Amino acid sequence: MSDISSMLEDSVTRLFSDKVDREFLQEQERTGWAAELWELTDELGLSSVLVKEESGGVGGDWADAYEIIKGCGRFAVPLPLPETIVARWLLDQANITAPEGPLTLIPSMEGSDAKRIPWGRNAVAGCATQSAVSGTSVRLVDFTDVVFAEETNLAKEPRDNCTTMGQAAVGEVDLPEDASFYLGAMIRSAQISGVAMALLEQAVMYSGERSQFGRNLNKFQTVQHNLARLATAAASLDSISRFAFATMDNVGFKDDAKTDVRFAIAAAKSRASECVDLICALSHQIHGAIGFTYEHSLHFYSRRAWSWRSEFGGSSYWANTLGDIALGLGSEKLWGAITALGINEATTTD
Amino acid sequence: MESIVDLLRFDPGQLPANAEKLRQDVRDFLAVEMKQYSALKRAYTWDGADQAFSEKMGAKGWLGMTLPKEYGGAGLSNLERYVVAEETLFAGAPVGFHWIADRQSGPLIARIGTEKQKAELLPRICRGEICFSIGMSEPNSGSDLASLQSKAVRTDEGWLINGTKLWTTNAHLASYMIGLFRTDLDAQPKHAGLSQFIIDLKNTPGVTVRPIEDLTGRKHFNEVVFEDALVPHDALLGTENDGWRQVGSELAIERSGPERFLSCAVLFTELLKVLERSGDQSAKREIGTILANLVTLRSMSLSVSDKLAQGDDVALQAVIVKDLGAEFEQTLPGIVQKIVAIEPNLSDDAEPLAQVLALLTMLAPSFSLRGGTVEILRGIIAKRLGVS
Repeated sequence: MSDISSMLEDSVTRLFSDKVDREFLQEQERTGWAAELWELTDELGLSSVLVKEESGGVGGDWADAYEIIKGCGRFAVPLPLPETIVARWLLDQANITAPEGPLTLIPSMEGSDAKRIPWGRNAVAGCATQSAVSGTSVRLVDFTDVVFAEETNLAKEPRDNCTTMGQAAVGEVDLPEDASFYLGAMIRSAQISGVAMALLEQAVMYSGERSQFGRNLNKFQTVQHNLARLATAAASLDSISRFAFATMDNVGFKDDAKTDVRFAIAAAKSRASECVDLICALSHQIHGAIGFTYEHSLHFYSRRAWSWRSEFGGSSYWANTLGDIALGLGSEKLWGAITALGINEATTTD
Repeated sequence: MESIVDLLRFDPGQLPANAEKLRQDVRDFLAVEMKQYSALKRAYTWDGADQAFSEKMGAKGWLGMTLPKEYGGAGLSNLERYVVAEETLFAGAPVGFHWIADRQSGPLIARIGTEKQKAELLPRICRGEICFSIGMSEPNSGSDLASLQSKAVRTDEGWLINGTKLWTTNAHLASYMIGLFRTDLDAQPKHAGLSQFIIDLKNTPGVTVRPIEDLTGRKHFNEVVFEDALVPHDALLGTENDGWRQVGSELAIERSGPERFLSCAVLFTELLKVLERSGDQSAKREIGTILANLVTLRSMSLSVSDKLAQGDDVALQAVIVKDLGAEFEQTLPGIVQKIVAIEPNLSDDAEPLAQVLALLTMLAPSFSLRGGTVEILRGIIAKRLGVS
């Protein structure tokens, strides 16, 4: 782990475990935007983790960004911090000056029609990669005067629609046209990895406090084994998400979706979306009826997981994408692609 | 206590720079060697044994790669071995003859064996000449291994061994067994007082190996009976009465390797071939889900191997890989049934996919038994979470 990674993990854990508790999340769901928390993340420079130091950023890599984004999932942070991290990176790639304040990614855009924009009403601008005449461009849309039809996901996180886009700045990038959608899927897989950890931590804690039949729940072998299954799922999500972020560092976007970071991202989001049923079901089962109440904090995690699994492509979408990769490569080449995945050719050929 | 987040952390494993050259060499070798093997034979992978094949691997320098050079090894890390292991498994090479020796007996002897044991055994392991078996389970001790009763008693002539080992894989082929026996009958708790011995199965009077037919009809595991079997004093491996800890130290590598998710690799390959021929795209989603799980498991297994190479304690992570890997392997035959209308069929003239499906459907129950049952594994995970 790099020094930046470990420093970031520490400060993210400290900040969010201190600020984002049950009362905070209940209050935030009633009132909307957590302005003060956003300011605190800004002071730490978290949204600029991927921006070069000479441009005033942290100069970290994607492995560093993973620690922050996973933390956003683990603590159910009600902010578009993951989206802003990716947006700032995209803008940096396109030589567009990033505006101050929260940004977001636009999952899909047809003309000026865009649906389910995460945190649209709170973001100062949103961006996406698009096909351009000579390749791909990053489009940064100013949200100042945009009127959103407000919707939310299951966790009451804003997912807003609009039919009229604002002024846009455009810059060309050397990325595939669907890069922003893939990166959206990658951050959601990291957030689900974090939320899985929270669902496990809560279940471990609760099973040690609640007593039935004269003993704590964690003394029952059935409960122990369900906790083990939950831990195994959480571990697998940490592994594949970290792998996708590392592949972003080592390989990134190249010419072929079957062999570049898109393969790893598709695997990460497919696995993450697939696991959501299990991790939520196990943690809820261990919590019993209390975990089904609004008063208990468990739902702040499970409701996020239930929505995040579908955002930027759900199980079906990503399993189909991976199926295309597998059938496209065929039985002769698939294994070679799996073992080559994540290897930086530049470092292995010297 | 370590936080749960740190316990479940799987950093991406990094293969060394020379790994891809090695991988290509192994692929080139297998492309030639595996031509004669039918899909059904490949499906056995590490359940299949062929001494001639193992000797060829040895001649290439691909056995005992982690062992010191002075004993015929290559002095490389576990990561180079990982590359060779996953390539041979994916191709369905018959690696069973050398598998246990290469994976754990060799490294264990190198770590705790006497100079004589190392000099006698390690070079032969590296050449693929000798097969090892591991004597653990007994008629009355399966998952409750610490309750084992077979005993070794020190006499002037050597250690006198009595008792029965059961389900001993490859004992009928093996020159040696590394067995766990009770050496202190009064020791408490019950896992104290156990010791490991290297037993010459071919040349020790009083040792009887009886193959047991498994449900597929083949004989690969055995009952090994010891009746006043006398082994020399220097058959003791490591420290007397320290066997339980020694056995534990082998488990991380035993449980986290690529064999924990590639046992059904040949089935996946045959499935893809059938879909390629028919042009059927309707199973794309199921194929994609299999691939996601495969890539996830490989990332986990590689992460553990990298940490093992750095000398970290990865006992828990290894258990997690094995638990998830067994679940993945066991579900594959059923998924294939959902995708393709095919009947499992072992007849000689059946389609390769039907044959492979037939074999792996029947082998699948063993995946969550060998190397620790899923119940034992989940108990270990729970304990590490602090909830037992």
